[in-house]
Amino acid sequence: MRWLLAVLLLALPARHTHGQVTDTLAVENEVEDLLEGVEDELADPEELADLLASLRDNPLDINTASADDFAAIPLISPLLAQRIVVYRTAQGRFQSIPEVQLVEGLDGDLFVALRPYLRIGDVLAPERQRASLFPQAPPMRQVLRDLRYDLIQRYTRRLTLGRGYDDDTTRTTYLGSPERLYTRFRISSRRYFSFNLTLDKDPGEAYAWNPSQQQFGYDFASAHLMVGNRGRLKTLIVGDYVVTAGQGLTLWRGTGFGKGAATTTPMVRRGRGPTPYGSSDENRFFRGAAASVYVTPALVASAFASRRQLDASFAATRIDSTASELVFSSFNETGLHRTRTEVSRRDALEETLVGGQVEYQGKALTIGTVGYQSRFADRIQPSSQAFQRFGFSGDAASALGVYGQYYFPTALLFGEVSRIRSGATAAVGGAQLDLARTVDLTVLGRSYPRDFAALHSFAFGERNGATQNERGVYVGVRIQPSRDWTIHAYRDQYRFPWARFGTLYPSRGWDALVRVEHRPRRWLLWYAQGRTETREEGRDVEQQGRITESLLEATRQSFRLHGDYQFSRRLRVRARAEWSRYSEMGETSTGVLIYQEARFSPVPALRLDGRLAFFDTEDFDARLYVYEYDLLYTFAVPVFSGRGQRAYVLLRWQPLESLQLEAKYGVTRFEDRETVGSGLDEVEGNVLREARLQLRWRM
Amino acid sequence: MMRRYCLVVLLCLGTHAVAYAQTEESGARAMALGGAVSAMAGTGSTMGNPASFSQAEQRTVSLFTSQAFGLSELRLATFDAILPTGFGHLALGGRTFGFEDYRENRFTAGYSRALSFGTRRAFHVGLTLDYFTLSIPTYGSASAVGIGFGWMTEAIDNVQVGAQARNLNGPSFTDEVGLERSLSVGLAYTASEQVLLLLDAYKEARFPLSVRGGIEFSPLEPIALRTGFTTEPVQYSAGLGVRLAALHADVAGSFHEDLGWSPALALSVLW
Repeated sequence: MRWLLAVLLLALPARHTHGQVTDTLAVENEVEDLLEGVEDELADPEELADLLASLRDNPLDINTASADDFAAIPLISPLLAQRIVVYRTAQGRFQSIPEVQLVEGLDGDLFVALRPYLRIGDVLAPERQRASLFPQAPPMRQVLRDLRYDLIQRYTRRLTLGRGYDDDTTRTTYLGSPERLYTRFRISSRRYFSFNLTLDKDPGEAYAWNPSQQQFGYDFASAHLMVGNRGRLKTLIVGDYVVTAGQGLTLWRGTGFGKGAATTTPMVRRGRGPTPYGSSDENRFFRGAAASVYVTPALVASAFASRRQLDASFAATRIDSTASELVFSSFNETGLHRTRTEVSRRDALEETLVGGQVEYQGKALTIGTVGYQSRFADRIQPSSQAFQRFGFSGDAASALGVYGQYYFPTALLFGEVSRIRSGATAAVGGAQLDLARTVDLTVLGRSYPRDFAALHSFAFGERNGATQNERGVYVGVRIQPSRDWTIHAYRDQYRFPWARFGTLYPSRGWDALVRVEHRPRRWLLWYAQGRTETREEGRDVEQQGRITESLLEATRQSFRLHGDYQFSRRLRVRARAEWSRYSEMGETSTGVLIYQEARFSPVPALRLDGRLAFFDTEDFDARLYVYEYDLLYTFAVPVFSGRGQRAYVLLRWQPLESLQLEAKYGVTRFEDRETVGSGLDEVEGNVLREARLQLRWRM
Repeated sequence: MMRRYCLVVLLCLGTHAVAYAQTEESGARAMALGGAVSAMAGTGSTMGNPASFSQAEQRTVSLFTSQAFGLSELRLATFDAILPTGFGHLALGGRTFGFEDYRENRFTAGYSRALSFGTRRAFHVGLTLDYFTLSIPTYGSASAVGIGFGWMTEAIDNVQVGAQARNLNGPSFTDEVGLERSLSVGLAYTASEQVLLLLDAYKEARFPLSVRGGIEFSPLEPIALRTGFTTEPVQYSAGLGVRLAALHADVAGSFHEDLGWSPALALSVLW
């Protein structure tokens, strides 16, 4: 019977080869769902894009990948990842990729979305693999033969420039030119070897050759060399890398997903230890060396060391009887060095970090510990404002955490406890449950004390990644009452036990989302989504002639209708209408957005995307976020406020198997203003235009 | 005289209350249905969704006239012709609006056809080119060219979806007076042979989003009863259509709470 099923599954659409431009509808929808939750600056869409890109470039071998490898794909929850491995252990190796659909919970649309991330290794030669307890890398000759070269050159530029680019010697202007230039070169051989070089210059930054400041023409450079999956050696990285561990409470240098339309999966994390870094975010990584080894097949030990220069704001020079020392007030995480002030903060503070991790991966139990110790060359002393009262201060930091997860066939329990140098202890934990085949439930509780000033944490929370001064409970559910209908919902209740930026007092809030999705046909999808968030905000209120700060409730709501129709392989159209409402102190503002877009692919090598959106919001509080297609491996989630239109066209052309060219032109026109933007980016007129070009060559 | 002067000023300001939204100008049938015609086949008008021409099975000539809120100064007249050919449908149209102190004219050429993109189903697309003129004797006259685009298709059985955008190129008469750009997205559900339900979201660049809906009910083959509504501004409408062989006649009235009734009449010949 199983062979029959396997044959039937094989008849399903096969993997898109690189020669085709079209992506599956499902992949982009899933990514969009993940990214539309990213509404704050803490998470970096580019890094998420990079993660997905590297996962797609190196598809997982379904017969050798571990549970944490599977869980690295954002579409696979740790529960499902574990279930795939358990299934494989019990039933034997998969004979074909579609066969993974036999794993409970991995069917239909999810499989289609996952397909580009999976591959199957040499099915006929499993014996060699079985003979060893550790991953067996292929012989060097084959590694060399599998080498792939990948070059991305990106050039993006605003065509309407702000006054920062004027020749004006009387005022501050940008030091460099307005284009953003990004170059990435990578040589890799599956998951066994990779070398990467990323160079990036942001708009307004100047080119400079200053090796002592780690500046080589472009403002930012990152490189790594990685060897991995060779016997006991899991990973060895020299250069730039990130470390992710457990739930991210102790150490998660890298980015993660927050709340969004994917209500049960992204919040449950599963760290992967040290992994190479090749993105363009200038802060979220370590620089040095890292290694992971299998002590036994189930026990992995990692060690890592890093020394890097961080951007920081200089506060004062403190002089006492014996010596003088520099004091910095805060880290600057924008990565921008466009003006003299920004350049003066560049690489101002040195951090030296050493750390280690030990993780046991049993059949049901995974448990691990991770810790690091870090030292700064100079002191950090945040300002005396209330919200920074418990900010990190001093010149040394350390943290130690214990994390674990336990797998039942229908549930996954997970948690992490972490303690930092000052003694503050934080915890996060929860469960992911398959209540029935049609109902998934995720419950997550978190307690991050106000004095948990952890430097390298990035755990789930209301302010995704800000792992301090927050307590909360998250409940998310996904219900599939029938094949065509899916309901996603979550509710998150949280409290900030101390002042936060802009609010003097402890405050609280909650938010919730409900999405009802209907897919009457494989090629037609529509959904209705409502979202509401109520939060206490600090506001100046006049009482008896005196102005005092009080806590007031502010509520932001949105309702969206969205339709997505794949007319044929060549044409897809989508439309959306979304309303927003913001109310505070009895005053309400509203907003609306509608868009219409089409994707047209007359021949497989050519793809054209276009969108026309009209937006109209009464103020910035009623703003709306919209995911937008962009150059391959970049995603954009622009925010719209005011009254105007946005239109873009994106052309992707693949003249050769190895070459892909992309161009995007976007224009935003406002009806309600004579200048757009502020500060150095203020533009005369009501129109913003930008052009983006990308070349990708691989062989 | 004063009234006329005020009207000129208001019209120049593009004040919404005294002018129709673009889709309401696509005939008495459209007006009776609240202008929710982005996804409706067979409006037979160059002011409707350009993709709707290619759903016309016969040659069509239509005349439409209306008088907003009963004011003779706001009289509108349009002429449309649709010609099916072997290589798609061609459309020609004209419109005139206003009075001697303020006159807007439009001449439109349109092209529409059904594409299948490798399937056996039809995806209708249409393009229009509008030539606008405005003349205000005391100020002078100006002209501009606008581009419109639309598409329409049956997404699932009996549910048609469509969208259209007008003045995509952002034309303007002068630096200050831009022509209204619009985008609308709609659904049409043929509930039975007798009942058609319509829903549209319509946005003009400088005005709030307007939601429109309409119902058409044909109790007997030659007769259609219609009603519709719009928000922003709130208006209710109703109308009657009669088909006698090649001749179609439609009457409609739309009611604005403050400004009152606007009557409309259309005649079409199909052969």
